[in-house]
Amino acid sequence: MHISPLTGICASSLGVALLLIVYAFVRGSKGLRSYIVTRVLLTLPMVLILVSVIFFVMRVIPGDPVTSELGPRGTPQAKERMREQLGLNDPIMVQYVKYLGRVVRLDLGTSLVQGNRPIVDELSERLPATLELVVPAMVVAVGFGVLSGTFAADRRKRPSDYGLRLFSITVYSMPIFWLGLILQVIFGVGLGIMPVAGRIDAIVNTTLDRYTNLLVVDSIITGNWAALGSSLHHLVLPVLTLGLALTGVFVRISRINVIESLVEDYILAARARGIRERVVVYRHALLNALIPIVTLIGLQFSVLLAGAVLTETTFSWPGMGLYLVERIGQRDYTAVQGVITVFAMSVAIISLLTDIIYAFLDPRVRY
Amino acid sequence: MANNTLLNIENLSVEYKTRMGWVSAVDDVSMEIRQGEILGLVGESGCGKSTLGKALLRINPPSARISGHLWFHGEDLMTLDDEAMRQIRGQRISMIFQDPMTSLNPIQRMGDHLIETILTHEPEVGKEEARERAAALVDRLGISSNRLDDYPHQLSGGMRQRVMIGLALALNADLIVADEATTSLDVIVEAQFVELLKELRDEFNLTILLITHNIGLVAEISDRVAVMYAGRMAELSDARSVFKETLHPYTQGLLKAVPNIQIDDDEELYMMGGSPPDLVEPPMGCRYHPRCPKVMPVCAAEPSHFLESKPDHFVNCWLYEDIPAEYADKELSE
Repeated sequence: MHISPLTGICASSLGVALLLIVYAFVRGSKGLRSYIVTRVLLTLPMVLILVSVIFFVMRVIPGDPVTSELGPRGTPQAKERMREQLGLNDPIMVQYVKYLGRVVRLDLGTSLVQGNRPIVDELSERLPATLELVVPAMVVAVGFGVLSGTFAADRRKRPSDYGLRLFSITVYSMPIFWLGLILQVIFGVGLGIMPVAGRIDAIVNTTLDRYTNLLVVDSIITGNWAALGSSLHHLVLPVLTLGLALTGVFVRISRINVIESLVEDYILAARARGIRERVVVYRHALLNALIPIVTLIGLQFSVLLAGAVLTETTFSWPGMGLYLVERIGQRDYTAVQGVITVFAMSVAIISLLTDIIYAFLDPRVRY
Repeated sequence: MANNTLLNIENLSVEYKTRMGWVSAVDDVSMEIRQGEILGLVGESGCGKSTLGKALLRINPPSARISGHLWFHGEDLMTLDDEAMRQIRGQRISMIFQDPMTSLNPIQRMGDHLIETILTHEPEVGKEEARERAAALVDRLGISSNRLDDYPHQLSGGMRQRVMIGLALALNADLIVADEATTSLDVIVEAQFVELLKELRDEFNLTILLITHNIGLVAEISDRVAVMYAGRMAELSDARSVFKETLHPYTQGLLKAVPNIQIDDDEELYMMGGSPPDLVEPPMGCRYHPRCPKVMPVCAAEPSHFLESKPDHFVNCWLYEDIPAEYADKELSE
């Protein structure tokens, strides 16, 4: 049986999510378990609402896929034939139910342009590219943001604190595409040490066998070190761009939350017990401050996807974002609908996971 | 200085920087804490008693300016560097805080508080052994050791306070500073707490500095009592002398102001006139003189000295000190 990379990635990410949920379920208290069950069940109507909104909004916005596909050449008969063929003449509720049925089977329909390829196949090439960009970007943003925010909180009102605050507000207020362009100008054009477009060197690409379409993963499992080097090299600037753009808000939110934790009585009490200052700041204060930060990670995920659209466009990165931009231009409504459905589902799953991690981290949350 | 002195506080002053200027929270306090005693430190809110307690561990906020000497086992704690001071905290001098709800880390299990404290100071102890010690300790304090994995919010107020005591006892500290440790407890739990503290003192030969504004509690439990007013020491002696042969007019007023459930209905509770002074600009001379019923001309001009007016009974008041000649005949203006 052929398993497309999209199905594979969806299945494996759902599997990871499931593992996390099961872990929290087993380790957690009785209250946490019932919370997890409720929260998982609540995700179903949430996804249904998201998918329904996408469906109806796509049919409410101006424009007609048939006219845009056939263009001025389309005769009324040709248009009618195409409408019939795409099921657009069915009553809207029938179309809706059919659409829901297809989404459940991960069938997102076929593209209206480019030879009517199934959207699932197209996304199979695009989703891994986006994942390979956003996951490291989020790691950079959260890792660097939280640690330097904590550092700034510890050095409050000292030069390093002012420096980090200035840095965070600067990267936060910079448009992503502009930041990307600046990095391209400096490292790509000026110094000439970084590629400015694409995922991998074109020649190296021909030597790489693809399984997951995650180039880093594929090159590791096939032992193709040249491909690994090239794909990592191509990742640096886009990941830096997206990561930096997101890191500002994490610096500031971590800093303020750690500062608030540091004035709590239990911090003074820990110091009075002779606990090392490093442990007091990075364990006691930071772990307490992490609770709102985890919530923010969930919220920032949608910003991350929006940022991915801009970053992919800036770096000609062949992911979902660039695909979305291309297909909006071509009025390929099924493709646009498919991308948004995948985005919406991933936001729903991430918010489910962050809620569960939140409950798991904070023993006081009693649902 | 008696030879059973555990901690000798010499000319300790603590000032805080505020927007209004430097606040003199503790001013030139000298006293000794003796091995094995419970020393009650009483005074109104804001008199500097908590600041004094924190200064013994040097955990005042960074904006504080501390001077003086803290002689402890032959060395001056004020001269220690941060790392050496950190090793004193929890191990040699420990502290029980006012509010056990907010003084325990809400996301750290009760047992982990104890284990972390033990392992920080005795890294050679294994994790298992630290856990056994923690279990034995909470067991001694009357908490079942199968609650070690509970979070603070799952414990009752009395249990949390016992955990705080456990944290202070975990490494057999020589001196325990209990800062308003019973303020947030109800009277029944407070009585249990006091009983427990007495038992533990006898069992572990503890020395306790009990900081409180509850005079009844001090009378109940203390060997000696120190009374503070506006950052200065007013009176210090054994509990009996302070309560029965009170010297300082402030202590006299304070004792009269304690509500007594057996008091006659028609007898009104004494209310001390005035209010505690602003410590940004404290009154000249004796800081109590604007409220003192026995004020003399000298009180407004010169500070009195903390002297031993009777054997082992110290007082800081011109009534018990030779008044300088130039003030002797003056009438009180104002």
